Amino acid sequence: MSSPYTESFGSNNLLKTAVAHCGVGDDVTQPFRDRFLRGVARLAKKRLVKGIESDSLAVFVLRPPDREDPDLPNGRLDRMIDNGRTPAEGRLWLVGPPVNVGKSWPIHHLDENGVFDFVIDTAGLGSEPAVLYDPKLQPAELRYYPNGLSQAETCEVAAIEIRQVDLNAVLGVIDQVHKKILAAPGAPESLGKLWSDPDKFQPVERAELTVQAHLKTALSVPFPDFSVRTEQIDIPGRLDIEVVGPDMLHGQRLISYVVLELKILRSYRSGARATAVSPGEIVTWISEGVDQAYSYRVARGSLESALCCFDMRKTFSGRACFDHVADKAAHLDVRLEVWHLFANLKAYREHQVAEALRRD
Amino acid sequence: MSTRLATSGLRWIERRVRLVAILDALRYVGLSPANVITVHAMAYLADALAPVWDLPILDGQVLKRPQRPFFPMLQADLDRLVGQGAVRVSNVAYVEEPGGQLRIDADYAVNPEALSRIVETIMPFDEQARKWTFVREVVFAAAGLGPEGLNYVGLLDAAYSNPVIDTGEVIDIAPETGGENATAEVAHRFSRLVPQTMTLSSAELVHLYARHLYSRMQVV
Repeated sequence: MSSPYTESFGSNNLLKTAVAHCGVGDDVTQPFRDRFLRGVARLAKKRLVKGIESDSLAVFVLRPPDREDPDLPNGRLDRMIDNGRTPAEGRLWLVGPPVNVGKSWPIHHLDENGVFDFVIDTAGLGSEPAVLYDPKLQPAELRYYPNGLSQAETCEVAAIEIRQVDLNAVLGVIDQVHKKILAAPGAPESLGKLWSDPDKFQPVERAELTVQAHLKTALSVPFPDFSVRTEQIDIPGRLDIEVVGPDMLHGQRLISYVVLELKILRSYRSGARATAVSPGEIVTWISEGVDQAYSYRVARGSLESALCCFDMRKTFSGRACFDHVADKAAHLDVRLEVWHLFANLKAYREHQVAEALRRD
Repeated sequence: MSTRLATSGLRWIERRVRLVAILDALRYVGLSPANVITVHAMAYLADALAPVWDLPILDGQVLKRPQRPFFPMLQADLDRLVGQGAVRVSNVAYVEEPGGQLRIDADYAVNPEALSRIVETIMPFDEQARKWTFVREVVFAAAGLGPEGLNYVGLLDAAYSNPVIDTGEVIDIAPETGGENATAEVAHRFSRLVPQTMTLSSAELVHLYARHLYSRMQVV
């Protein structure tokens, strides 16, 4: 006979929890700042899904509240704030990396300048990483200030919207990551280096892992209630990125939406001897990549798959690198994409100019 | 050091390191200084969920009290850490529990200098670093229950709230003494409910378990 105890720990209820909170805890190895940004994105999306409309900004600051802060007295402590039910808008929130508990103060009476003044001058929090959530824009917007609101010129903007996860959306995010971070050296190395010796066109040995880490972080913000899984082991081998989430059509289950096979195309291997990679090896890697993307999609039951190449060679051949696999990939329904990673800023700028002239 | 710590004779070191890890993690979620109830609740959850990370349980047997766990040995460890200056105590009082017993009520926070020394000592050891990360994730996950939820964790948790065990009886979650750990069993079940191709990490199991306890708060 079922009791409230056995029912509440029954499979149906546990599955509801697993679906409703897909991805919680899958970012334990990521920097606290990344967990914070994703946590705010999850909270904002849950509010949108609940249909909450508001004109008021919300500000989230990565600084756990002190229980007795003379600058910010009488805050309201709320638990599980990312459940979608906690009114977040119109408030300044102090939170930790998991963004599941926080203390807040009303700011709905302030305009945007007033919000900045309050956070920087009154609360003294201008140097802490902060996210501004603006629900009145279409789509709603997150503005991430990694160095705090006192350095407002350093800001990353992300749209928060209710949308289907599909390969086009995922590849769009990768495009942005490429433009902003991967295309040329200069990105922060918190997620790892890409080049061991850019003058010799030598990537680091595990450049795939660095690219993977950047993509995981980037994909977690527009799709915060999905789980971006890396290095999943399956019978065909080890797949690079998989996006899993609630089945938006059929309710209480999780499905695999997209699998990505990542390849780094190199001119030289890393290491002191810098041995060259032959064109034949590149051809083989790409062909194997198509096979892997297809096999992983079948094994995981994913809806879509792609081979994503990050070309770190001296010379960029564009999509010509796929000529030998184009038919096979089309037949296997594996999308092919390539992005060039330049070893220095000068080469990147020259490429941009050449592309602009070619278009004109 | 890791081999020596594995012996039960030095379990008290593990318990104190775990206490410091709990107090450190509570700083990150705004629950510091932490009330004594919060500390005991987190220590209990860290033990109950340890098998999810393939880690040993430090206190496998606990006397079931009306609404929350309380470990006399843990309290003694906490008091010793206060005496050593590693932990700061404030707002000390004594409150009467249902049943007439008195218990200490106080708030605890880790001394940052002591914390630095402890972290520097243990982090080079992979197993200790892993245990520290585990405790941090238990605290991060359970912080979402808020002080109120942690106050009533005994009514929410699978092992502690099992109606088969009466108040005043011993809850045994240690496998080596034949105990059944319903908490770890529930956490593991999440793995069996998601697609077979999706391998949930230990951290995800801990966080999902805490989310599920939150969902029980409405019911309980």
